Amino acid sequence: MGSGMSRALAKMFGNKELRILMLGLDAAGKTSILYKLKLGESVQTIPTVGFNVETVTFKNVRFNVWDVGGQDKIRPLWRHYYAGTQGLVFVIDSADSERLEEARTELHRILGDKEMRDAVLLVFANKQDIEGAATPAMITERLGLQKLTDRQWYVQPSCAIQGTGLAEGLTWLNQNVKQ
Amino acid sequence: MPARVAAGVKMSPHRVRAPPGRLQSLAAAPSPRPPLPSYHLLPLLAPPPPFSLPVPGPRHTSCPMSAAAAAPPIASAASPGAAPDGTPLLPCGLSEQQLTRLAEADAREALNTVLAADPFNTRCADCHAGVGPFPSARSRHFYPATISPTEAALRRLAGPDDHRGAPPRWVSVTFGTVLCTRCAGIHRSIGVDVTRVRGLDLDTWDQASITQLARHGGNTRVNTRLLALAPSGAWSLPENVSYHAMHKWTLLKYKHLAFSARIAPEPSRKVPPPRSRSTSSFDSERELEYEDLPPAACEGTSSYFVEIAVSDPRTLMANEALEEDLHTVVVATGGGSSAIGPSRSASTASEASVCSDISAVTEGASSPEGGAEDRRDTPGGASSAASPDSPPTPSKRRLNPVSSENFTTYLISITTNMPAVASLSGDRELEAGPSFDVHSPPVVTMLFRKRYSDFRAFRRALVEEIASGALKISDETTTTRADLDKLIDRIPTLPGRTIFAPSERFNETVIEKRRKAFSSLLNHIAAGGVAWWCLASVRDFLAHA
Repeated sequence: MGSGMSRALAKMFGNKELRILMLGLDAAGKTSILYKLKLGESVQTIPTVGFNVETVTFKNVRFNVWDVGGQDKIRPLWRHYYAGTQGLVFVIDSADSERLEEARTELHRILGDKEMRDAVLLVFANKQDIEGAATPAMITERLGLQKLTDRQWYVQPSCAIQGTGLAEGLTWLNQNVKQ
Repeated sequence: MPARVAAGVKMSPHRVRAPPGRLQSLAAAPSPRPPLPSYHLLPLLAPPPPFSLPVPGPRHTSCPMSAAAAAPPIASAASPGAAPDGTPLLPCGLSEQQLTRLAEADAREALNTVLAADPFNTRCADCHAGVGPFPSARSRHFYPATISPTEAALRRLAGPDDHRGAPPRWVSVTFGTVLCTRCAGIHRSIGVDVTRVRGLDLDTWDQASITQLARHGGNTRVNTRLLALAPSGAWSLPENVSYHAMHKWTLLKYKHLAFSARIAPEPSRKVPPPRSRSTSSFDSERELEYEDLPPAACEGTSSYFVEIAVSDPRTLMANEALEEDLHTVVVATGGGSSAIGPSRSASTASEASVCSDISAVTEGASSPEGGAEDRRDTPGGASSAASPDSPPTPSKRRLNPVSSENFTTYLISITTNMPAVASLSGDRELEAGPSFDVHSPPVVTMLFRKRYSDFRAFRRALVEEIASGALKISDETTTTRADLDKLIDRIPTLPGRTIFAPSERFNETVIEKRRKAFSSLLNHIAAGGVAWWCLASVRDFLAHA
């Protein structure tokens, strides 16, 4: 009886699978976040040419996370990954205030695509361990997120090396992605 | 020693600009050795290259570097702004207008032209990969042998195992060095406040950044500057350096500027300011002027500069042992060995002799080197070499012989052409009298260690001396009490002592805070000019270095 019940519950809740696309400027920490989530340890990364994809299971939800390289010239390739994306994770290097404007431009370009209209937006304000990193409030403002009325969004401070904030981000995604 | 040969190939004197009049102010070279390149200022800190790894011959005979070494001096790489007919040329042989036009037409072509000016740009500025095999030590160190898709991805992340023939395609735009993929990854992990990386292929380059790279960048030029005080092995790191060792090396080189020195100061230069960090321009060439310099700083016919760097080697090496090769480098640079004893890696007799060489060298420097004192306590250096596998013992710590307390010493480097300071360096030629040309006084580098309590005592003495009116602000005006107080107020304060939590002083943040404070204190004195350097307290401080 009990096992049947749990099987039914697992059927209802355990097979949830989300397609997550992780984008952001180069050196923001996308790959570090991906492998911190996957392995629980911080790995040494090199600039991503192409993409990495991993399935991360977190609280019985399978997150299919796509991490695409962020250099200038390969950003036009991002749109090929938009189709079917339920959650966009946009990673910001909070210590790099000079390029927040550039990040804002890229973010709004992504959100303007019609294939992304149903995706919820999670912003990782990454590298919070660095002294002088921008606060989530500053990043909300610099990215112009308040103007996003037709979309659920959330700014989560994080540090990929220590792994702080990553679980909270996934929890938010899990609760807010439309099925 | 094969490593020596390798070093010689890469450090061919052609490519290094000789600092005019720079003296080797410290003791003489410990043993007969091949001629050192002229930037090699501190023979004391350069024991024979410690790498015991054999360097395969073909790598160096076939590499473009050796071809470049045989070629005539590369003036373009080292001296920017040759002006044959009025229009100044960039090192790549184009004038700025030509380069701008080329960049407009084809940025990639312009970049390649800029990079072709320096043959060393075909190799990574940090690990020198680019031509020849460069086995990745990382997979061995960090990943298990079984392969899953995730692990395969991680292997890919670790970078190509074989860099053969692949030119470095990344640039640290902060410094202007060309890097391989692996080292680019290391630079990115350090943070954009220190170094910002851009891809030659994957990022767009505007004219301004191309011109800036042409003007200030290039591996030979930047490395000459950044590695001026580095030991001779620094230009030829062993091939299988692990990621961690490489990471530490990169931190030392770029973040802490541990081996950096100003080369060939131009006569027009005033006191260089403390290094400021900026991400938008080439950091170590940045120059600002002190507007409010007291006239004393510029007295005489030539202008003087004093460059000060305070580094704390302990914070870099406390956590874990570096790979033995790199750690010997670090020890050899006078970086101290608070956490890592040289005996750790002494597995063979020849290595042991290298290690004891180092300790003798540090003793010769008459610095309060804890390692040397430890060595005196144990009967002979041989005892530590005899137990290569001994775990870290208290002898690895810096011990105060009086109170048996551990403490941290900070490595201070002062480079100056100011005779008032230089005369303290114990250089015979300078002590004999001002026989040198007053228009181009010799440049001297002093390197010594001080601990926190030294700085405290020094600051106290300095304040007392100034309060007693030793420092004349001006001959005309009479100095009032208020003037003196203002002067004293402006002296940077030091962080407080850690009486209540004595272990706190080994906290990295405490050490870094102190290091910054020491740096600003010394720079405050440097900015004050000759009058400050002539104060008895300052001279005492330097003389007992």
